[in-house]
Amino acid sequence: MIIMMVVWFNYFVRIQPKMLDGTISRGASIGLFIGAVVVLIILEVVVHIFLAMTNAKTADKAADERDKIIKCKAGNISGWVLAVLVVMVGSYAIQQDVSSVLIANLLLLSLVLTQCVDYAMALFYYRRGW
Amino acid sequence: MPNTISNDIRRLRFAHDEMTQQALADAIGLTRQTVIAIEKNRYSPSLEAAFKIAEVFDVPLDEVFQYRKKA
Repeated sequence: MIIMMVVWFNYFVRIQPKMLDGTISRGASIGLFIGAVVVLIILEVVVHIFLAMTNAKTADKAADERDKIIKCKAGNISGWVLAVLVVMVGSYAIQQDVSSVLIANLLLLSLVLTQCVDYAMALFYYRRGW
Repeated sequence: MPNTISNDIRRLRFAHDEMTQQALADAIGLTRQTVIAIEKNRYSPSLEAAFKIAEVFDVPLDEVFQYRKKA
């Protein structure tokens, strides 16, 4: 979750000023996006290898019934969050004359926020139970 | 959030040669974290897992789990 937040925060901080004043091209936007995805994948792989090495016993264990229920519950809530955000972006895009780059990035932001909610809810259920 | 199902898993583990949470988890196919959550009444296991736990301790199900009505 922290890796994802750091990478995408960095991406949006970089792209936001250029996007709002309309100086970013579609190619530059895609370039930044691909860069962020590559960095995210590399960091995720490195962290997962580190976690697998430090928790060798549980690293290759499949999710059990509680893990699956928590994933379902968190996914249910984050699904609603995504639906609301997509409707909001869609409504904004219909009302305002905005560029496709802005819409694409707003949708990307929605996905990132949804994933954050998903991780946060999973953490909440793991710690508090139900 | 405490639920209405309590259990005696901790006592039963100690009565069975001080079985570890990991050993119980391996015996019933759950993770140690899930066994911890069950013991602390933070998670009610599936019926299948509940029967497996009772089988490991060789006791009836109601000796492991107790249901209390909410007041």
